[in-house]
Amino acid sequence: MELAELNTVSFRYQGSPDYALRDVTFTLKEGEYVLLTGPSGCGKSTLCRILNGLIPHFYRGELKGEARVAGYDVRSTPTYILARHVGMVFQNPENQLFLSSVERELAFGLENLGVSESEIERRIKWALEFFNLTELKDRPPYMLSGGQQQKVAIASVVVMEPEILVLDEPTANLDPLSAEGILSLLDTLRREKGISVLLVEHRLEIALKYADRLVIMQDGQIVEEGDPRSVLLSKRASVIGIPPVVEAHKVLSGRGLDLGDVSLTPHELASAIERVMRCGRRGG
Amino acid sequence: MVRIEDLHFSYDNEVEVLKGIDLEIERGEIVSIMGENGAGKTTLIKHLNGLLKPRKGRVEVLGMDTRTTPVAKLARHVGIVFQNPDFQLFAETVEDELLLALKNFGFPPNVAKRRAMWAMKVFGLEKYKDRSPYTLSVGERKRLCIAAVLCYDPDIIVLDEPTSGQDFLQKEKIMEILYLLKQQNKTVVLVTHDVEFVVRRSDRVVVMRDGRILADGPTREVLGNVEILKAARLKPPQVVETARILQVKGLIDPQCIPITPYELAKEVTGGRP
Amino acid sequence: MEVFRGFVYVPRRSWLHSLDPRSKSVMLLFFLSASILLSSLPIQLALLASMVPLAIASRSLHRWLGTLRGALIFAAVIFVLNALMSPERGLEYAASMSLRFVVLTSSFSLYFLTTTPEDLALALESSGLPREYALMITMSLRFVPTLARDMQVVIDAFRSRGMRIDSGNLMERLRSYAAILTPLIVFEVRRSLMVAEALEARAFGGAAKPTIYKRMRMGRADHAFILIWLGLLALVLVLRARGLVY
Repeated sequence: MELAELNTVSFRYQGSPDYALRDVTFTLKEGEYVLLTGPSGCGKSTLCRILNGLIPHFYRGELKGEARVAGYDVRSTPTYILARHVGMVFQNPENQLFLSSVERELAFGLENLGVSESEIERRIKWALEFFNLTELKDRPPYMLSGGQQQKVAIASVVVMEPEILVLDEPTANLDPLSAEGILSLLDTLRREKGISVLLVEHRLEIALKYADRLVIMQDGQIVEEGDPRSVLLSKRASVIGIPPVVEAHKVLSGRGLDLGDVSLTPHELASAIERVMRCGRRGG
Repeated sequence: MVRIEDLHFSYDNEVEVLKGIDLEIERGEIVSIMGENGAGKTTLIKHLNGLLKPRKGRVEVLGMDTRTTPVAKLARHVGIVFQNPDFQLFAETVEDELLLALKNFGFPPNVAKRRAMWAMKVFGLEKYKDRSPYTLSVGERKRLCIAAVLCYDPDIIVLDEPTSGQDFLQKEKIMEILYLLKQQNKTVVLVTHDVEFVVRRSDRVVVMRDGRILADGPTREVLGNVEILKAARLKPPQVVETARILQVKGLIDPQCIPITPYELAKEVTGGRP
Repeated sequence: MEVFRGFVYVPRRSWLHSLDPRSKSVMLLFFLSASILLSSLPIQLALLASMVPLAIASRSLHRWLGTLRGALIFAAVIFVLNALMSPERGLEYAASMSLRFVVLTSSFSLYFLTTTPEDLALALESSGLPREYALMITMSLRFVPTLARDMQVVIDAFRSRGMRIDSGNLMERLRSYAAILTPLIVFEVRRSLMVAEALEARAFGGAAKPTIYKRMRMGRADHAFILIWLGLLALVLVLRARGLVY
């Protein structure tokens, strides 16, 4: 089932002569984990912001084409309605934490939705446990580490129980292990709750292993899309920088080793190499 | 060039952020200081130009004791580029931004102008000469900040998280800049947790955790030591991790430490083409 | 400055701390009104003296006295100005004017030592203040440490480029401050845009009446407290109307 559908969508920010998005057709299915990447300025953030109506309601401009999310037409639906179905997490956690304690932050979105107090309590309890934030319940945001802050930001959106979770470079300000932790948590969330995830990331090494689909954008258009393994081997992948394991895979394949499908992680590559070394060089 | 002896520091007399750092940096080295957020990396580099003074211990830069030398004087020799470019742009035009430090350090106007032009060319910013820094893209602003420090030619250049938030092409540009600096025998200190970047451009790696130095040595040695990296909450480079798994299974030479895809290929195929 | 510390919340276990911010506002209202409506010196002294047991009960005496000390300096200035400008009103008048300043300042201090602005915002919202205003109070305070930190980053970058902030003549110093403020303001304005965006993404501004999780509810102690101060205020007004106090 199509949760989100963009059909030949183009968008130009007010006051800008160039189109940030040009004839983009994009769909998101239930339970999918899509990794969206591309050079700075390619339109990734713009695409994200259409999904919850920030474009065209918050960011004015010229929107062409059809955009439907969770059954609503984005053009005629205000963000506070779309926010029930699309949760959005941004790059800098500092700008997503408005209140004086973690607990109040988690309650905020639910308060805005008019959810009952007892339901809010129940959902906060779940979120504190799932995200391992229970001891930090009463802490103010400036006393949290970057990784903790981002967890709170994600939790505050997840409690609203959206069907789609959009994250625009959520790990940019985090160190690798915190980043890894957050992305792994997202994957668990996806598998347990069936939420669809659209993740915009530059750090492909950490994000690739969870993705069902890899989408590359450039200059406002989707230039490559599909199974991550095949996309990484395509010519277009040169603009996004392929991870070292993929590079190593290519080099070894170039030397005649049949390693099978492209490896996305060191473990995969090591297993593939092991298989070949134990069974012989050229083929199984 | 830089000698740090038993450096201790705390911001508020309560929690010690640096707990006895000993470090020496020679001319022409490219040193990467790595560690998770909160390990004390940024605090450490702020001692290099005297922004912070030691609570205990000594920091000596080019023979000058940072405790008794004013920041403005140390800044002439140690140029620090901080992580967020938006906090480091003070002038109305790109050219003025580059001239700012040059003027402060007493460069004669014609020399200053020449240096600014050179910096703009090297960083691909000439076409923005008379534009406001805020009209540049994020990647360009980052390069402008680096240019603004390089143009007055400090002996030591310190870059705090130069690749954070950058896309692939922007990172490649920064790698080129580092290559250039290496060619000119400049001393560079990088603060980063981007192992793949360090693997390609750094001579030496210093790993920090909790205000202390856990490891200090050539890049290959330190980044090849998976235990130390784990202790510092860093991920090893993907190639190193792959090699490690193969070594544990007895498939490749346990003594080698391949850090690039080609080196790994060489170990696996035994040097055959 | 010591006097500023007297306006920052200090967590303590006291009945004054645990009272609803709205009840304490009534107490504040009493002190402000009484001090302004009545000008005589003995009254001002009485008001000030009556705050002392409250400060003791809330275990904030030390901090409150700090405010008092700081306020006395300004009070001295007011005394001298009044004595010089209106000598016909006499020294007693000057003294009561200066003491009024101390009473006003000290009553605010007592309030904020025992009440967090966030709780105040929550209390106001529980009483019907629209969400946007309550949020403005809480958010501006929440970002104060962030702004302070950002300012430090800009100053560090500024000095690292060889520029000095605290030297040179007045013009040079002003120019330095302006130079530091520019990137800071630009960044924070941009930040506010990103915050607004995140608020929208959290369904802020919807048509539905928002739930107030853990809303503030006043108890018996609060009602009694309010009645006491309203009663005292009524007493003051009656006595004043009768000309018995001034």
